[in-house]
Formats: sequence, C-alpha cells, structure tokens
Amino acid sequence: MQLEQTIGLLGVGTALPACCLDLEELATGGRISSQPETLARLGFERAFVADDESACTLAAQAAEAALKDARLRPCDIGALVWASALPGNHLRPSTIRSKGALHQFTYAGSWLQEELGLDRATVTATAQQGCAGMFGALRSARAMLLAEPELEHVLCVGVDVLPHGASREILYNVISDGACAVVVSRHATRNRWIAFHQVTRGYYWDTPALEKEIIASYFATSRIVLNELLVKAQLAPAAIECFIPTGVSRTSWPILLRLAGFSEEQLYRSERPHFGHTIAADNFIFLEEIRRKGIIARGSKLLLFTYGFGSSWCGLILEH
Amino acid sequence: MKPVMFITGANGCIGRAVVSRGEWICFGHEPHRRDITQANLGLSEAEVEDLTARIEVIVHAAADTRFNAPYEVLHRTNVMGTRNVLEFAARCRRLRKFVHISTTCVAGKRVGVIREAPLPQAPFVNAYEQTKHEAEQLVLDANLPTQIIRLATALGSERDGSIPRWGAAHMTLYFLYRGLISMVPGSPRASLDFISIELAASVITAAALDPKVRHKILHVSSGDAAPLAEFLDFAAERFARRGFVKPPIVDETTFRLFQDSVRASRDLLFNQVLGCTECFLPGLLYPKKYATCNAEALLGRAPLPIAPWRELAGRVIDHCMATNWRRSI
Repeated sequence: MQLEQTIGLLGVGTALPACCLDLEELATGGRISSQPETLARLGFERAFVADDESACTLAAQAAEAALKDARLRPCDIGALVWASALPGNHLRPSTIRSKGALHQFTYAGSWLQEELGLDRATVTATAQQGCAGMFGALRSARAMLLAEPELEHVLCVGVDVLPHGASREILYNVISDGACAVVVSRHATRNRWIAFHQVTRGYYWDTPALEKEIIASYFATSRIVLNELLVKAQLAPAAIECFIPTGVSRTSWPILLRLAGFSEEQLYRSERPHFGHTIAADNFIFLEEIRRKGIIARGSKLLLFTYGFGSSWCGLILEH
Repeated sequence: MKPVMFITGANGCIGRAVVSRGEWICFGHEPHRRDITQANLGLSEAEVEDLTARIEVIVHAAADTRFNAPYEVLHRTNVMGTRNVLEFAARCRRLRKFVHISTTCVAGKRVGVIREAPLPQAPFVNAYEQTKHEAEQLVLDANLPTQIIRLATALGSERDGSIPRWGAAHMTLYFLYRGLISMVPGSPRASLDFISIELAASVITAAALDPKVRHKILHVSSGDAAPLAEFLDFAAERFARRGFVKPPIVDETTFRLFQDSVRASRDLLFNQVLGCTECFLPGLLYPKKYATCNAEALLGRAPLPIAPWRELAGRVIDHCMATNWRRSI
C-alpha cells in the first residue's frame, strides 16, 4: 500500500472546560447580543466557558487524551503542530512578572512539548484560518509525513479560549471554549486520509466590514468546496456514510446538505446537549464521540467540513 | 386623427412611456391626478361629464405593483381600482377601446406554455399576482371593447438602461451585486422574462390605436428569455466585482429551510433582502413560456422586436453601476 494511503488519524482527544452557562445565564452576563430564544431557535443551548482553565490547560488535556487513544508514548511524537485562531492563545504567560518584548515569545506549543515530555518532537504552529485552523494543522501534518521519512507521528493540537468576559456570540453562533488533539500517523489503522480540499477567499479578510457578505457567501462557497472535495476523492455524495458538522447553527446544516447533494440522514447528530461552536474542535469532538460509541462501521467514509474566517472553507474525507 | 386618451397610472413606469410617445391628444396643462380607488376616480361630476363626452381610448395602467404588500392593500388598488375605472369607462359615450395593462404573473404557479387566453384561477406566488388576476376577470366580464395586455417584467430602457421606477427585480439585482443573495429558488429550466419599457409602450400604443379588438388578450414577453443560470453568470461577469460568488439555484424545500433560518436569526438586513426577494423569486420554480402570437399579429411582426436579453440586462446593470445604484423614482 502506498504511503499516501496509509496516513490517517490514529488518535483523537478533546477537552471542554468545566464551567457551562445556559443561554439565560449568558444573556444575564451580557455575553450574547441576540435574545436567548433567537439562539435557541438556531439550536444553541449553552456555552462552555474556561473561567478556571487556560488554553494551555485544555490543550494539554486534549493532547494527553489523543496520545492515550493512539496508544502512543510522548516520545513517539516526532512533531507537534499547535493551532489556534486567536493570537493570544499562541502564547503562555511567562512565569515572571516583568515588561518587555520577550513576553511576546512565550510560545504555548513549546510549553506543551515540555509539559508532556514530547522530547523528540519539533514544534510548529498554524494560525490565520479561524475555525479551520485544525484542518490546516492536519494538512501540514500529513505533508510532513509525506516529506520526512523519519517522522512516524505528528500531534496536532487545536485550542481556542476567548478572552475573559468576551462576548460568546459571533454571527449568530454561540461560542464555547475547547480543545482537540489529533495524532496523524504514517501507518494508521483507522480514519485513513482519503482527500482534503480547501478554498480560501482573501477578499473576505476584513471580517467586521464584510460580515454580511461572508454570511451570504457561505452556502455558495461551501457547496463548491464539497463538490470539489468529492471529485478529488472520486466519490459520490451517497458514498459518505457520515457527514460530521461543526457546532454552528443547526438550521444551516440541512440547507448545506441539500445544496451539495447529501441527505439529512447522512448528518451526524450528537445526542449530547449542544455545546455551541468551539472554533477549532467541533468536528473532532464529534469524531471522538463517533469512535467511542462505535456507531459507524470500519471502512465507512466520513466527511468533516468547516469554515474559518480568513476566509477558508475546508473539507476532509476519512475512511473510518 | 389622434384619439383622445385617458390613461391611469400616467406617472408610472409604463404610463409615462406610453404618454411620451405623443400619439394622443392630452387636454389641460396638467394631467388629471386622481385616485382610482375612489368612486368616479375622485373626479367631480362636472369633470366626469366633460371627460366621458370626449374620451375615446382608456389605457388602465395604474396598479400597485409591490410584490410584498398584503392582499387587502393590493386589492384596493388593483381590483377595486379596476372596477372603478371600468364603471367610469362604461359612461364614456365615445369609447372605442379599453386597454387594461396586466402582467404575465397572472399565470401564477402554472408551468409550460401560457396561451393568450383567459386563465382559470390557479395558485399564486404572491398577492400581487392574485389581485391582477382578479382584475383581469373584471375586465373580461365587462361589456366593453376591452383588451388585456400582459406584460413581462419591464426591466428598463433598451436605449440607455435607465429605470423609470425601481421594482422588486431591480432591488434583487442590487442585492445580488452587493453579494447578499445566498441562493435563488428556481427550476433548472427557469428563465427570466424581461422586456424593455420601449417595447411595452409600443405594443400598448398599437393596441390603443387599433380601432378593433382583434384579440382579447396579448402577451408582451421575451421570446429570447434568459435562462436563470446563464443570467447569473452574465450578471457576475458584468458586475466585474471581486469576491462575487454566484448564488446557487435551489429547489423549493431548500429555499424554505433557508427562509426559516434567516427568520430565526432575526437579522435585519437579511430579513430585508428576504422580504424583497421571497415574494417573487419563487416564481422561478415554475418555468413557463408565454405565447405571443396575438401581440405579433397586432404589430405585424414575428417575432416581437425584442432587445436581446444580454443587451437589455447589460445596459440596465451598467446604468445601475454608473449611477451607483441610486434609485430612480
């Protein structure tokens, strides 16, 4: 079997904060701008808020879970890719209180390497893809495995924690803090990488100014990306056993599925209370849940899809 | 000799174009600005006596053309107003022709070929279509020399692309240009049917000047109808705008889900866009083609002298962009 056909997602881990606020609590705290009933109609119930955890804490929890899921030791990891949409989450505060430029170089990825004892791992990071950051990390990880024969396992960690007290609503979506981690391995026994496709439209870089256009273009571009992804994979929509969404508005997925030729039955619907949208981790929270429950047969095709400010639309097909 | 014409809606998009052709005798320096929803059209009895003794042709072009207005509001102008104009016409002792300006939209949700003939009531996309259909029934039932002209969407001037009055089609074009149309409901076979104001005015004028009622109903419709998908490609190219993403054409169920989603968000702008477009775009789910034989016979030309849709739409889009989409009223 060729190398391209054996790379896959060997382990997945996720972490959500302990604190959870329902829509009324978010409204009372001034953390959402829409009425709670409006967001409820869009399928939201609550948000996980990292009042007591940092991005690093959540990232470490998710990474440990992913290593465990992959049955790997920290020393097995050859590279670590840190992904976060928010610039602040790429840094860990220094252990000393002082001022100066050096405080801009306290990288969270390096901290995580040290914290978990990933002694053989090199550290890199991806950013500027919004909610699609983790997809960018996975793509980089696969490219590393293809390019560097000595690498066996790459650990990708995606984490986003909004600043303390920040609004929890973005474009009618309730935002949770959360982290995910995925081990991308050269010889994966599950979730083999079939195809990936990304479209970036830099025109939309000015998110505040183009908010409405971004919303309006979402479906049209999503459909294009999904269709092109299926062409790359040489698959028909019906060949996808499970379409793994993000945690954005539940009302949007049936529309997108119909647009791209999928049926609603293909959409994965979690039974857990809606956790909102965690920026980078949603798809992988669902993927981890699917595997844990064992509800999808091995060999089935899974499709993960997301959109991130920037604007980047990403789709990934795996063989479970 | 030029006939004496009475026209309602003389300040409207079509009425103005008809009057400007100069085929008529206009009396007084100011047009009679009256209200067709009133008995005797709001004219005094003396005015009625004077006018009914002289009028030879009536062109009833006045209508409330808002696709998103409630039925009751539209009924007042489009149905009751037509009834009042017909009653006025019945008093015109020299009347030889009553030309009622209708719309191809009266075909509602029918599909296929629409003949130039009375249409039994069918489901409608909006209340405008329904009230214009009801008005047609009044005209057909009147014991007068009536003629009905069903116009397709008059998009603008084929000369310079100018738009005397903005309608839902122009607002939709504007929202499309701004990248705010997420999707368009439509059949894969749907076409956009639009004509120039000049063509509409020329057919109305020819009908009004023809002393006989050779055909009861005429269609002024684009034989060169623009396929929806091709039109969207054309508009995208014409806009020449970075970041423009062509909205997908979707089926009825998908559009309904989208409508529900927009309403659930309560987003003001998207609800405004939806409010403007949802009242007529779903008509594209019902592809149809209008027969134009009667109109061709009237003009003595087959096919009708229709501006190619790319030329007409191109001029209108260029005009809109050149004027920075300022609405012409």
